[in-house]
Amino acid sequence: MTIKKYNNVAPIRDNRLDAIITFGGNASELVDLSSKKCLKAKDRAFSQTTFCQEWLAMLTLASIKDTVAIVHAPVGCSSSLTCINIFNRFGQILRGDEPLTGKWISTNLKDSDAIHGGAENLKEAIFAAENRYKPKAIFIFSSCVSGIIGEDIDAVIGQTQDEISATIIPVYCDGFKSKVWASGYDGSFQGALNYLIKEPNEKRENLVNIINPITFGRVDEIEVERLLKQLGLEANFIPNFSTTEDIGRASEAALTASLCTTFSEYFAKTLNERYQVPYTEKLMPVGLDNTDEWIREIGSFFGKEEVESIIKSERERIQPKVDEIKEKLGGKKAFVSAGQSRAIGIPNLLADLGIDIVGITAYHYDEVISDSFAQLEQRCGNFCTNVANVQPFEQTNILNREKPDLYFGHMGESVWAAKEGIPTGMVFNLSHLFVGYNGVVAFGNRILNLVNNSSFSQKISQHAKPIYHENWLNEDPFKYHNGGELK
Amino acid sequence: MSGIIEKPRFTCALGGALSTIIAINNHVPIIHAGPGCGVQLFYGQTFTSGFRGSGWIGGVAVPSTNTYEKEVVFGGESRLKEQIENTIELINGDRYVVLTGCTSELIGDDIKGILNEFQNEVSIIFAETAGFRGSSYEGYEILLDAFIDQVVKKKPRQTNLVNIIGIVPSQDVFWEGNLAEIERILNEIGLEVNTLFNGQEIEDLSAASLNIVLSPWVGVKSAQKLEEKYGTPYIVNPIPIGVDQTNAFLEKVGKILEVDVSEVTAREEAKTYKSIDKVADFIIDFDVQLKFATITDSNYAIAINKFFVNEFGWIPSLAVISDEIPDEYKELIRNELRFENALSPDILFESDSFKIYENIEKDTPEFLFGSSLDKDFAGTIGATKLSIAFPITDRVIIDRGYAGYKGVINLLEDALSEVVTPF
Repeated sequence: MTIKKYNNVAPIRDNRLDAIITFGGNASELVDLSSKKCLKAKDRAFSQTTFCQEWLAMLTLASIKDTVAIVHAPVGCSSSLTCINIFNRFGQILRGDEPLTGKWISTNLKDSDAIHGGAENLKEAIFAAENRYKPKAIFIFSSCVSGIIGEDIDAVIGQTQDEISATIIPVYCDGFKSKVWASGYDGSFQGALNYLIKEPNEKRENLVNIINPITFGRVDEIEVERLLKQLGLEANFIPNFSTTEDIGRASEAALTASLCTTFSEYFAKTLNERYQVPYTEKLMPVGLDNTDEWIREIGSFFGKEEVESIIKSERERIQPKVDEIKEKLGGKKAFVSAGQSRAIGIPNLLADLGIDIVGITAYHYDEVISDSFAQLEQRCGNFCTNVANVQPFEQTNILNREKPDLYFGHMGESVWAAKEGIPTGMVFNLSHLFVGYNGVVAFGNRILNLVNNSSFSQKISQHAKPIYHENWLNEDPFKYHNGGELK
Repeated sequence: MSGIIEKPRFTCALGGALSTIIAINNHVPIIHAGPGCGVQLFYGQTFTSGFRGSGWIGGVAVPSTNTYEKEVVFGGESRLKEQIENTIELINGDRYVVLTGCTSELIGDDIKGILNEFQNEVSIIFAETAGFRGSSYEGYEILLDAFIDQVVKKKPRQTNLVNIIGIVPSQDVFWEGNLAEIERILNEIGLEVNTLFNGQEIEDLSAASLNIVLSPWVGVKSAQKLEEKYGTPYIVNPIPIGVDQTNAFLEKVGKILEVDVSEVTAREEAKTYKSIDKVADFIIDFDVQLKFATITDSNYAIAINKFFVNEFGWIPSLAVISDEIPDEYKELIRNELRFENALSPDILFESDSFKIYENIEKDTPEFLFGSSLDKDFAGTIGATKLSIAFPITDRVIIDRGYAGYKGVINLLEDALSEVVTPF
């Protein structure tokens, strides 16, 4: 049995990183306020639905092979796992595996449980997970209901762990507890850190943990492997599509790097605190400069002087192809909406292709990206900047002002740009490369398709019924931001 | 204590109510709940019903109070009030519907009091749809109840108008195609139809001459309530698929409303069998007489088993009924699935996927009507599978329906295409 040494509840990013979800203005204002520590945590007097941290916590751990997820909640709180399962299956196919549907159990809390507590359901679910699948680990995701009724999940685990061979891991991610859904990553990683990471048997000098969000495809990992191999390094991709054993040996790695620092920063920091595995801080290897910096940081950590010549030869190899695309895309105007790290990475990639950035939405903003954001502002100018946990009503207003030629965003929000008639590309697509040097060209080629044929967004927009009153488009897009204490 | 569910085949009350509201013309949902409910249920209910999208105001566009720690501690009433004011200011809807979720109901916000302030300005109602109140089906019923209590007004009876209730959008993945076919055939016999989703007014639910509950149980209580309040008779008729069931359905409706349906049923029957005849050679030449099982809700269990046993000659094995059904309706469902000549399927009321598989395994069906969750399982028992039940992520559904005369041709094309896929 695991002896608990650490708190199972990770601190939320609202407090730990002074993260905000509401800002409207231009890039230089955000840089200025952020550098002076004068950002305010504003709210919205009108808001649209968004993700909660439980959703992202489930997403973080859903594809780990030898585990079962228990969602301690009413039946609706596990429903998106059917959608996440699409990415899980697709990811397995892309890795050459036979695709298997994940395993999850809802404790199906009803009104009587909301009054009397759901401990019995939780115990039943734990035994079911164990007996049905003999997994290595069982994750228990908390919820708004389990949080509000004060369910003691740790206590239930204490009562059952002796009879269960799987390691039972609590993931505290009550939806209402953090305004920043990225806190859900930390809740998940806290569980992994407390229960799965083993004391290192050996230190493996060439092993680099690469933290891989599920939204990066196998093609992206292959590009990373290609670059690391030139430095004589090996990647341990965790947590997605890995096993509890792969995660457990993270303590043996020489270094932790990440495909998305916003996703990994709490894990990387904490792993270093506990097991002395240093970590890199560069955001993501997306765009030429970012890729340079990303691989350079790893190379210099290992004292590999050849990293500069690798960068040079990669640049020389790729530049003619980039120039070719630049010729066709140069001067186009783009708007990007994404999680904060990708909201830096993708604009940099677009700038490599000569595309002007007219606006960015980042789902939240915190100190993890403050330096990189300032660099982007230096590079791309004083573009419109929105910090919003999706909020398509603000986006529609901004797009009507900025009139970009192209839009790049995530699932859910991008369709609203298409309905404004803007050719729309996804910032994540598991079957298409966007990481590294080759990623710039691959992404560029997709943009060419978008530019060459935008008939879908044109047609859709001609027939879409507007949601908002017409005068909303003349109002200040940030009209509904209010209040706010100084961060 | 309610039972745990491995890989549930429905979402919560809020999920059913939300997917219903966004399916009704110009109705604006306002979720009063934690931040994630709307997105969770978009990706967990709407999108996973054959990749249906946001439409006019679904997906991430749904207004929501996104209540956080502050509201949980101090109450969410002022936040809701502000959200309603601004939703009205931003979005022009015919009606605004506040749907409460778990957090707001646990903290006990007074929704009714807040809504009173807006009643003179706009049409605004609320439904208590906390996830812990039940499944998507029950969420639909709660919403329908809210409509009856807060919207429906007494209207003069319209002799040729009927209401169709009991079909939960997205929970029935084929809801739109199904309702279109039901509306078509009722139009054929001279009736007008209010399905809630076809542009008819909710207010006018009282004007119908007959309420048709197109499910063995979902909406029955609402039909009873409409009978008590407005004296409207109702029938409970699970969704009809194929000629026998659809003929019987029209005859039942015709009898109550004194409409002669014989010409329509004869014509539709001839047309449908002219189509089915086209696959007769294939069915006979390839011996396509399969032993099949169903993992669906009660509505589809009845219709699929009836059609494939009584009209298509297939051999039933197990009918798994995955909606959590109130006990009082189970007998009706058992009766519906009692066929002649020892051809009744075994029946299992079960929502937990693991227990479902344990039971089907023993029966080794050759064909499985289920959901996309059952892909791996169908593979392990070597069964051919068609996804017809929620959730569906291995098919794209736009306007397709399985109900009625036209629907059964779609159903046969889809099921038999799965059989020939290896070739």
